Amino acid sequence: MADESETPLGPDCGDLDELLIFGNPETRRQFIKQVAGTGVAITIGVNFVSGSGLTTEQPVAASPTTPGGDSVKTKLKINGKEYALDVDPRTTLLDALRERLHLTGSKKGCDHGQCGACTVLVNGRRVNSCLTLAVMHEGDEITTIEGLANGEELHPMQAAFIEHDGFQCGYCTPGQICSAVALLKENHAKSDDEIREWMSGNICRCGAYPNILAAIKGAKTKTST
Amino acid sequence: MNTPTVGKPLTRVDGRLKVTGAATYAAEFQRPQLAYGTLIQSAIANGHVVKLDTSAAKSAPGVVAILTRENTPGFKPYPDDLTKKGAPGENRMPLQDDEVHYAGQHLGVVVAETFEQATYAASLVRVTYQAQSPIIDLPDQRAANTATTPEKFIGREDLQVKRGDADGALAGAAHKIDATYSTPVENHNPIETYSTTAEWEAADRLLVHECTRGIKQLQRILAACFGLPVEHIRIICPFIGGAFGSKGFQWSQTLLAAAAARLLQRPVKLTFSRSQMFDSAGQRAQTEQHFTVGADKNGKLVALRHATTTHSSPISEYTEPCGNMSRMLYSCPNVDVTHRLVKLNLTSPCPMRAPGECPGVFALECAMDEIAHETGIDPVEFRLRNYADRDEHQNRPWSMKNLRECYERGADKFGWSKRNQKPASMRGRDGSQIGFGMATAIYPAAQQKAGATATLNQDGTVVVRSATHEIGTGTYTAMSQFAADTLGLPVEKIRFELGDSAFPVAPNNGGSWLTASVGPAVIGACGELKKKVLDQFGHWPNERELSSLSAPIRSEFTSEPNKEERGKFSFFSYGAIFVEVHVDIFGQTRVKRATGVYDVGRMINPKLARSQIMGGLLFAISTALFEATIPDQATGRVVNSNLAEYHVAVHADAPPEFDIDFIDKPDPHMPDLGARGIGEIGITGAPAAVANAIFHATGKRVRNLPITPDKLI
Repeated sequence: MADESETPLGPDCGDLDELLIFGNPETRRQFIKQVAGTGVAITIGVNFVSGSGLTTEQPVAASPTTPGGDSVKTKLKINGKEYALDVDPRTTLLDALRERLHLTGSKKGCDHGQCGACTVLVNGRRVNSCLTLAVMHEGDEITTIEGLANGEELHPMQAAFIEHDGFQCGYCTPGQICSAVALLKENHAKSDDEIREWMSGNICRCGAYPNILAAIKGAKTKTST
Repeated sequence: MNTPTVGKPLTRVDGRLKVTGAATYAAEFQRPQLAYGTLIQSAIANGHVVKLDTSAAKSAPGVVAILTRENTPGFKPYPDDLTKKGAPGENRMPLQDDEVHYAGQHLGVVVAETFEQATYAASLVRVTYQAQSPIIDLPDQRAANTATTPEKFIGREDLQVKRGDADGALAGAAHKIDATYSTPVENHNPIETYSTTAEWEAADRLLVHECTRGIKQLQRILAACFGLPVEHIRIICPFIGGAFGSKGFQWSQTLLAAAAARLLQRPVKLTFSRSQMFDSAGQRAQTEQHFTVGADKNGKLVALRHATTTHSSPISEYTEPCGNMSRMLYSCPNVDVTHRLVKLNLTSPCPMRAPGECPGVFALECAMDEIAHETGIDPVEFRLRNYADRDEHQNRPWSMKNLRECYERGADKFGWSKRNQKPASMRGRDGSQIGFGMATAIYPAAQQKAGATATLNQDGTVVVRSATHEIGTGTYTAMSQFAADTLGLPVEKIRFELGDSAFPVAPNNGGSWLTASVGPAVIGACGELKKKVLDQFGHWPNERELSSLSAPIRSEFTSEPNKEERGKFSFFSYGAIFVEVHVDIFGQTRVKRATGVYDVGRMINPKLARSQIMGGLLFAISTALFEATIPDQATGRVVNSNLAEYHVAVHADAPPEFDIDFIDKPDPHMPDLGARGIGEIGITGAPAAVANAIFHATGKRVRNLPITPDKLI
């Protein structure tokens, strides 16, 4: 980037996390305002999502490079595997996953954090991977839809989505499932209303919501017994 | 012999691929040396381009080519049948001249090594225009100057229909209503945006990965426009991330991606942003529908006049056929249906889920509610009094109609009898106003020509192929069920393959006709295969016999609609939809309950069928309460071209109670299993049910969609 000056997000941003952006419109507006005010790419990272600084024993994959233009070396740990990347600093986590690492399970639907199709888990929390840059995630534990199953054995949430027909075209499904996995961990599945509210960041244009609700309740029962 | 699977609630055979992220959508095919394209689009809506300055963009890092009118060889014209007679899609070849007809029109493509580089470089393109003020609104006098009265919808359905003497009957009617309903521009907004990856495998051979629900049509378009034999074009599309009417017909991005790939001699991927889904992928046209309805003192309809004004773009003749169901849904001796088309500087419209039926039946079913209210008759009773026992427009019998049973069962399940007929008479404990509303749902049951092959392999699996599509309706599953049942094999032994133009012919995925069209082809191909195998072995071969097969056994079948049968009857699906709404003091409407009973012929898979209808109902609730594409009055550009400002129903908007039921009787005049379509009927009628329930809750009749809080306070 020509202008690398880091504009801090302001005093509040230590508390700002994407989970809140997801659920709290006030925080979301604030976030957008602040980002718009910076005039440069957001290079936040440290205080955005608390990195757990995990080490890995797995070998680092071959290092694909960005052809042409400036690039930044970064390492991403995805589904337990570490990848070294030379990445254009403008690359979102979503585009790094899809276009560079060919992990296309995470979907692109709007590029604005409005549809939730790109939802992945970063250190166990759900994050819109289109709203965050790849270079911000060195040291984070990233789980995508490809990393949920245990070998051939589906994650209970994946199995429940099939059983309850929680999708039609399937395009929003990876995001729905990642979001639903985090939802149970957040303990935001205490009632139907609560599930509906806390899953409203994931749009399903096919209208599978009632089945998604049933799938989440089904998976909740299975994982709690 | 295995037990038949048709009628059983099988889970989707492609479910595992979809929940693991392994289902591959158009933008997800890795190609060697892939370059990324970003569109250059017009910022004005009417005028022409004076200068397109690409100098800064050219020198931006990573840029490998910029495709503009200057360096793009002219395309040969689209096939005639796709541009004439009001066909959906555009009739102007991309980059053919400097004229601009709507904001967002494609002016070129910037191609770079990466998506980021292409996106940035496209922002450096400077365009100078000579602009004229755009025509944006239906009532604009300049729009009126372009008005025509098209005779047919895509060369098929009559758009100007007169039966009896509506004027005379209205003059003597005991009860009368006169009302104008309007619906806004809406966009399909599937969550997967358009994507094309074009690649020239040889100088005269083109491979395209695109999310198209018209594989054979796109193949034909590309062959025509590049002057190549059809078999030199290959389209691949195993999964589509939703379509709802988009992702069909001819739009310029496929040609632009292919032209860029040819210029560069490497694959080029062009994927739309969400914003481009509002100006480059078609949309539902806005409509203004004037109803005049008369009834006698017993609540029998005597006259129905339905006059629609809608729009197309300057480069399309597509007409939203709002009045088609008004011709025959109810028994009425005097009917006058008209359609008037004007040209606006908005992106070219095209079908969107239930084109015509969605806005048209909304208006018709609101008008029925209004006239029922006027006569003091319960809305269900009013519809029963005007029940059409035959198609009075085409003057022939229905293939099968169980709509009466839909009304009765629906009313019973919903508890319609508890409704106090007086508007604004029911309140909830939280002070919200409660209303019950209902409407009729209807959608034509069509059938098209389709083919399939079936192949028995040495490992005992049967591969069935057809160039059809999976947009989420469950094609993989339903076709596997047909194949399994025909062959007497378990579904696990069947592999149904679609989404490849090299496969046998299948129609565009639309019109709710996929199952009734491709189903008979699959059943036919599998029937032939079974016969061949039994002729050879005398029984279904065991493992040892299979492994000794010298070559797979193959059969092919093409199915066509029975013209004689289609001419004798009128084919429709029906439904009755009941909803309960709560309107709070802020004017916010919540749909709390929905009960729908549908007569759609035989259920192939009740689990998937229920999902389809439920999805249609949610789409309908979204249409009734939220959706509107808003063009800026000065510039003609869409001001809410994103999913935060173009509201679609989210999870919290889903009614807590959904009760969907089916009559489940096979239509004796539909092919094979008697299934009619279910893809679109869910969205018909239901927006009116919501509007009618809001009237019942509040006493306010809102006639323009969407019914946002500002219209209720």
